Amino acid sequence: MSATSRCSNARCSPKSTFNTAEYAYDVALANLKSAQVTLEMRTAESRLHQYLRPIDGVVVERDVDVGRTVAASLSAPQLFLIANDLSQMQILASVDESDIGAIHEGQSARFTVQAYPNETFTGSVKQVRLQSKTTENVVNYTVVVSVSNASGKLLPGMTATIDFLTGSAKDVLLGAQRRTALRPTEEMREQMRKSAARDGEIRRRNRESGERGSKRRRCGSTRSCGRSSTQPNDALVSRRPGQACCRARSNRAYGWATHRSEKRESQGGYADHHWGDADVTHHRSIESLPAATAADVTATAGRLLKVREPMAGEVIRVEGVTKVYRMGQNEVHALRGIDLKVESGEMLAVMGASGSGKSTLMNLLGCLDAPTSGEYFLDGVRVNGLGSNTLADLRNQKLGFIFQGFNLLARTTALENVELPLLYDRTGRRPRYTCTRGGGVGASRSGGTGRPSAERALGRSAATCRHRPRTRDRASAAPGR
Amino acid sequence: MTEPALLLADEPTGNLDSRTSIEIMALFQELNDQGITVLVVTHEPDVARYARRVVEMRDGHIVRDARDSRPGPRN
Repeated sequence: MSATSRCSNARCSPKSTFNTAEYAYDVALANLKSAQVTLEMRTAESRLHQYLRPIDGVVVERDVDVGRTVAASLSAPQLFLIANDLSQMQILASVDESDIGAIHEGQSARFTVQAYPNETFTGSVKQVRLQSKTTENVVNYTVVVSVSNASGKLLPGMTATIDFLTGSAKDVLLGAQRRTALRPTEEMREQMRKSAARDGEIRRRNRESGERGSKRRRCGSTRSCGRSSTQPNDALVSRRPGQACCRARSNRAYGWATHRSEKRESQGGYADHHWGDADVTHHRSIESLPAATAADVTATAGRLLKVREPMAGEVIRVEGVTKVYRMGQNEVHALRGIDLKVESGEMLAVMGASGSGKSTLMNLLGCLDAPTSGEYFLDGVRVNGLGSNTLADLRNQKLGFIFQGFNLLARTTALENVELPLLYDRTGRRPRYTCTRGGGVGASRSGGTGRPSAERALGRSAATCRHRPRTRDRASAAPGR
Repeated sequence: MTEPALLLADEPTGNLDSRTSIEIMALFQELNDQGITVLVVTHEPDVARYARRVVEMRDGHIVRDARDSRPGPRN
């Protein structure tokens, strides 16, 4: 009792507090000992081990300098970008879905880079990645092409233009493509006129002698064409080449139709390429045409040949044309005196780097811009000084445009884009609704925007919409009509 | 319908893949065979090869005007 009071007077702690403190001291001591042992162990380990992070390759990029503190706590910092082996590179090529089916692993590929425009490099397809990327409505897949870069010419990040070899043939006879698209000579035309006239004569004779009906017979007129047929004679005559071509023209079957017209229809063997381009529906309509007289047939053939022949004369005559743009204080001489004549029926390419003035020239030729000086005649019409309405009519009637961006109207179907120039036309021509591939807003039609644009340039919905269908029409996914 | 005397094309194959480019150029050739005059502005030599006449421009001048009278494709 007295001891307790003494102790409380001296403000001493109870024994339990003392025990707790003593325990904590012992624990700390043990921890120290343990840490010392760990330290000894680690020190011993570090003496035995050597820590290495082996990196081989070429340093492409260095992000730190010597002596700089690297703070690794926030995120893994990039110290170096190291290319493992620059002699083995790969190209990540974007291939759109219309072509991806033709690409498989191991396929060889050729490519060029802008740094070496005259050199072709080769590689092979290593992988076709499954993940697609959609850019501007075009679905692309990444194709990895492995490339050997022993010469060290290829650098990381270069842009490559790549061709994949989808097929090859050895020991084949090569012929010029244009040899199959023959333009008849004057001699051939003469022969054709004669034969057309002769056919008319034969038919008249047949009619006079009452020889009609569908008996099997050899066509009397045509020792040269040597055909036989079970069809009525009139039908045969109406399928002379002259009219066959005439129907192609009247139906505006511009050669997309199948080459199904038979050899037996051709005259002297040369006409196949030209007359063989109408499809079977037009064919039938021709067979039902009433028989024409000999004079008609000749006239048709003659008219036709005239159309086939390139029209004489100059479409474009440009004399000393200059164009100066003012940009603030500066004058930019886009064209410095251009003289150019283009005959009718020519196919002309204007080449040049950007800034060479080729687009300016095209704008002048298209009556979209006026030259600073010089003369421009379009199809015999002097363009300088015409009013804007006259120019608009001139553009509508004489010119077809196909622009780089295609300038198709958005929120408008492909068909409406094709019709557009006809709505502005003052000569009363109206579109025929025979387009089989309409639908698809603006540029959303498959095959890119080029086709509706080309169709609009020509204003030929009937003929030009009959393209060979592609594998998948993206228009089906677009809001249809 | 519209029968343009002259068809002007400014980089017609600019945004197209090579196969569609060939189709478009074949279309131009076909139209040219119909008698339509075709003028294509391009910076690609591949595209210019389809034409029968190539006019090359540099700095606002015409520096070359080459015609191909051969029946086959050039190159």
